[in-house]
Amino acid sequence: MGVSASVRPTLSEFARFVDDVEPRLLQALVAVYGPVDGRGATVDALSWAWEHWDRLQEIENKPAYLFRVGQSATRRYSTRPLPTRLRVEGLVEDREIEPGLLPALERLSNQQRTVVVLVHAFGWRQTEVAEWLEISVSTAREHLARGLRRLRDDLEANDVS
Amino acid sequence: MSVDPEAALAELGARWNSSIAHVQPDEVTDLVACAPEPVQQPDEDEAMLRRRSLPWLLGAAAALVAVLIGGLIVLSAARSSDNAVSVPTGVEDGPVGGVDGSDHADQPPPHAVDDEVLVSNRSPVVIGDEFGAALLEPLKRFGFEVDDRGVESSGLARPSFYDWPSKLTEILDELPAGTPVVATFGGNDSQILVRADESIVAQVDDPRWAPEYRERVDAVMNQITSAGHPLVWVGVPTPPDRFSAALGEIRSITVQAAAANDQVTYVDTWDILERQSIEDPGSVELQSPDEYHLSDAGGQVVAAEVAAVLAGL
Repeated sequence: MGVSASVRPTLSEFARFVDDVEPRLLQALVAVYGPVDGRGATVDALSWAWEHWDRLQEIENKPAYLFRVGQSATRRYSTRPLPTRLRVEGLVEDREIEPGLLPALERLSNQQRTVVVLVHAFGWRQTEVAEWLEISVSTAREHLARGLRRLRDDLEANDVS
Repeated sequence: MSVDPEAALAELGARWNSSIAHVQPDEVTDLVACAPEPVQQPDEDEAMLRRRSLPWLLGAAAALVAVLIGGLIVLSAARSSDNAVSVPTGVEDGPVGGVDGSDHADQPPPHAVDDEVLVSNRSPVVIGDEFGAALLEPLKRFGFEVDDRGVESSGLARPSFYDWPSKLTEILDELPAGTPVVATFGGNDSQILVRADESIVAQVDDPRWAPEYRERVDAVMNQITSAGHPLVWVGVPTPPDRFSAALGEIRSITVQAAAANDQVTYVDTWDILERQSIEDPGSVELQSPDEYHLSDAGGQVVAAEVAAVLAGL
């Protein structure tokens, strides 16, 4: 498949774009894949944006589109099942985090984990989550309720205090 | 003392926000400069691979078998009424029959007792690509006579392979006034757009691709509805964990086009499958191993929504 030439932005123009888009994009992809793969997916998505700048200008919701690009790139290049690395040595001091939380998050479905993390860890509105995941708000709300319920049950079952 | 998951999550978010390094612009530009080849939009390649994959062929074969079985069923099935049938009111009303993956032809339609509604038999013509094949048998079980005009591997991208606007002219000429049309397009369309003579209109990463595809979607929708046929457009499925930017774009284009034509009802396969996964998570595969086409159970779920729309026409 041919790739037509794409006009790239100036460095300052791209820097402004990254400043604007990257924080939400990083959070969204971290919610899906965890800190390591999520950050890698963000780099992949922004690389695509740099290389396809003129195509990107035609897209209305650029951050949500790059979110999908990042997911596709991660699935394509990863050799392991995803997400697998919520717990990363050195990145998060585990002793400061509820010990059962990350294992419990890993046991949620992908959709439940993504919605739960975006809403309660990163403070996103449910409408915003629904827009990025391209699902209805009621579906996002249902994922959130069920995910949170499973999380609570899981944490209480493993609570040793 | 019980653990508060919301507080724990807030703490996790704060830790991640402060410890994960933000991606800097020069990290991206340096990476691309060092890359041996440009980073291509991944989904376009992925969609091509998916279309060429063995699971895709297996899915198409399974759909063909379903059509053949469906034909036998129609021959043997006794209709309770010539002009009225029962259909489910929607997938959210309760469990859908056949979700154990064994769609037995002699089973009654789901919700036949509790949630039935009497409707006119607005039996549709099904057009488009092979995605619609999974809807045929369930629609027949819901009591609709289905005229299948779908063509495998077809779409709106390559009229040189199958020219739907031209074929539609012939099909629509044959139809009684008001016959509903159920359309499935998009699964084969995340590719170069060409004309009937194979000349290229837009590459997949060409900014002209989206407006050109929108024009093609609009044209087909208008062709059908201006001839007096209500149109049910069954959208492409793209579950959140199998995101495809190209399919996502096709979905957005078709949603917008449907919204602009009041004779078109958009059945959002993406959201239907998502809702069903909430109702019954992990218990049944709604899509084929290729993760695009519908399984028998998935066909049942989506067809229930289509049937409900047909019932309301």
